[in-house]
Amino acid sequence: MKPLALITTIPSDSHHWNLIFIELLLKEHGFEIMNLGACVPFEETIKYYNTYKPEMLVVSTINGHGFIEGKQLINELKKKSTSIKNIFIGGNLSTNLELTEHHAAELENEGYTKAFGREGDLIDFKHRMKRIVDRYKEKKHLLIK
Amino acid sequence: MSSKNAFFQQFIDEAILSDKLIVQPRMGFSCKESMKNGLIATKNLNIPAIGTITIDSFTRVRDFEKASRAIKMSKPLNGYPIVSYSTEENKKLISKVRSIDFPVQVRHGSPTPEEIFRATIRCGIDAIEGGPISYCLPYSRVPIKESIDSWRTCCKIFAKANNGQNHIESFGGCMMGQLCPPSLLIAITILEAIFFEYYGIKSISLSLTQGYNSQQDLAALRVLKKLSAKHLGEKIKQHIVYYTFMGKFPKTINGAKSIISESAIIAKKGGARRLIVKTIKEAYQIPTLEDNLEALLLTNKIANQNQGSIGQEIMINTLLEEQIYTEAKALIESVLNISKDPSIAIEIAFNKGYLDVPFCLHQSNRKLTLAHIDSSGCISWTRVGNLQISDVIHYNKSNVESNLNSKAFLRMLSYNELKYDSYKKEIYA
Repeated sequence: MKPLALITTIPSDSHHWNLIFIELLLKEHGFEIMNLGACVPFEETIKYYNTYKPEMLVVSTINGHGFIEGKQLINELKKKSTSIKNIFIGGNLSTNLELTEHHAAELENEGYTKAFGREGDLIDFKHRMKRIVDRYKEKKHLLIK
Repeated sequence: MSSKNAFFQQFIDEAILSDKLIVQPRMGFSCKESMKNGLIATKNLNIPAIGTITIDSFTRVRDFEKASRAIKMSKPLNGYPIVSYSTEENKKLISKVRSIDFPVQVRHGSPTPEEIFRATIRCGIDAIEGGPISYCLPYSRVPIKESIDSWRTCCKIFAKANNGQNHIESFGGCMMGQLCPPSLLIAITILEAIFFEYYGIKSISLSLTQGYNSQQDLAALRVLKKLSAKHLGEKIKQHIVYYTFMGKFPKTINGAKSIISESAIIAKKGGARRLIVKTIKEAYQIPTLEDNLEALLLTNKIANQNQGSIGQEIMINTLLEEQIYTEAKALIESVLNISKDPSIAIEIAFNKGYLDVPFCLHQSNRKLTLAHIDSSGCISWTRVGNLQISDVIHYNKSNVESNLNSKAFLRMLSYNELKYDSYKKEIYA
């Protein structure tokens, strides 16, 4: 059995290629995938999150509105979900690349486990994926015992 | 029959006579004054250019309230909210700018654009773009049927508004073009053009986007020209619009200039009449007005100021042409055989997977097809699903990446960036 990862984006973002890349990456790291596609309304992400209770939620966005709608999404999610864990956002967080650090910090402050937007962040993300998969397997193993 | 207001088509007709390639930017500002300045600056270049008004993304998804609120509070949007401004304001925007020697086109990206069409008609602009497939699948969650219904209405009102002389460009040859084999792009843009014609539009352009191998790009353009002439009525005025590469862009100035210049050469040699440009800052930021003007000047210089032979370095590859022609023809016929009514034919074609765009996550897309970039840089089929081309398709098995992984995928998307950034100098300087 594999842990489930839910892939989504923000309502105004119509980009596709980033979502497919993330899907392939998560698959390679041992996840089962649910990919909601482009321009996802907040309610839809929340509905899928609460229904399927994934081990991990990835918000991938590159249109530069991540620092606006990404915040709205996490706040809606906090209001409407009982427990949230492993919520990541990544891509171009704003149209101004120089403000990436700033926006990442703000997004993490609002509740994201980690916000990615810098060169080299992929290595960090890979470590986190591995840890989530390992913990999931341990948990399942203990349950079987 | 020419109309007093058919600036766009008349401008195209003249460019055909003088054999000029028309260049056009992407450009949209929410502030009226900036938008007007952008149009004036484009016009003042005094080259064969068409003005662009790109609509913002709130208007695109019909959130007119948010767009109106933003302009009231002077908050910048990523385009011009044509529905939120009054007809008077829209008319003022184009007055003394739009003319017989400088037409203007509205560009939007909406799968359900009735209000955008109506606002465009009210202010007297005669050219717009999109299509029921190309503005539905890549950019929205609207079911294809809803988009088809909306576009049918739009075509009818747009045709009626100007005696059939209003122009629509199909975006079909560009959608998901980074990893879509040209035969399917050609089929989609031709099917959209047939759709426009069926509902009364008499001035139409068909599109195609630059890929990774200039021989394949040239072959695709030549095939599009042949097939569109075959499928559209004799009385339809038609031309082809080419798009500079729309994916991950080279980061170096030499690389960016080289790929932009190459798109102008392919457009000209392949018989396109219009080119939608990208700018050298593409890899980094939303282009400024100056970036756009620079790209227009560069492409105009390459395409229109070189005497005589252009693009001799790009070979006509008849083998590739035949292959693309056979596939595209089979795809178009498989859809037209479903029904004489293009609305029905297109909807059922997606249901059956007779049209199925690789990597497209839209709910109306069957997702049974897959494509890759082969060792020569051509976009090729990996899997054709239910596309009705298995009898005619030519697979080069040794080139097929059997197992798509994230690394290979990223390498494909970065193909042009790696290729053009490796050039030591600008190749068409």
